[in-house]
Amino acid sequence: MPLNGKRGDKMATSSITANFRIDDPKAAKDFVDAFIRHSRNAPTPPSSNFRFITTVEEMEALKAQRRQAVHQ
Amino acid sequence: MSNLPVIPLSTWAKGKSDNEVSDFLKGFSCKKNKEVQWFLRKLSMRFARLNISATHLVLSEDFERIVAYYTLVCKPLSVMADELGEDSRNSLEEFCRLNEQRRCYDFSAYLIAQLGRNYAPDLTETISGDELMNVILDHLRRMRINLGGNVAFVEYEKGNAKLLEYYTRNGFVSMHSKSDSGENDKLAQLFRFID
Repeated sequence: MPLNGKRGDKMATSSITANFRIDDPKAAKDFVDAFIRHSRNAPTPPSSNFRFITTVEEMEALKAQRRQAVHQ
Repeated sequence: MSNLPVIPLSTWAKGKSDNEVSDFLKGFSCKKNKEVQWFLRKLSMRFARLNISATHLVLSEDFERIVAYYTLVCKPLSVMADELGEDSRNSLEEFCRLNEQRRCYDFSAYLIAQLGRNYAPDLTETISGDELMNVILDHLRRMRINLGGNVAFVEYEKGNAKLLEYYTRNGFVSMHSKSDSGENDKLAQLFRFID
């Protein structure tokens, strides 16, 4: 099925499949100036307490840990 | 509500049948925005398998329900070189090379393609829209440290004042950009830097 093949797909996928450009002169200058300024800043370390999981094993371990906490 | 698990849909779905995945995704309901609901239920898994986009699930503490989700995509963002003055172009030399053929500079950026909270009436755990954006920005901070890139952008439907206020409150500003999707009269883009 093509990416935009079904009714209703179009809006949902248009952002994902589109190409974006800035061609307004003032917006282009403002963006580039801000980009250069910002790029020299050191990154802020991630700070939220949400638990980002990347593997199935990690998910299963955390599930088991939480089940155990509920039972105690 | 600050220690909910966040997991890529493709990781969560590993080893599960298509029906199991589909049934689980049906637990996400967003009547306010059917497109957000439709994307998660019908397209997110296919796009993940094709590596077109990555959908991440914010789950309840027991991992049984979807509390919210978001979808990220790496995208080049082009700035047309002929619109820039010489000073700006010289300063950019340190960061990227001019694409002579297309006359543009391409910046690496992260598109937040979808985000939505689950409004299912029987869901007991919820997060606010601002909390969800904090999760996404935190995720992007991790991406920035691991992969580089410091621009995040979103598209929103023009005229949706509530959505514009939400993104503005969370640090996004107008990009004054265009896309080749044919939706320029309906959609506009906002960006922010990943701090």
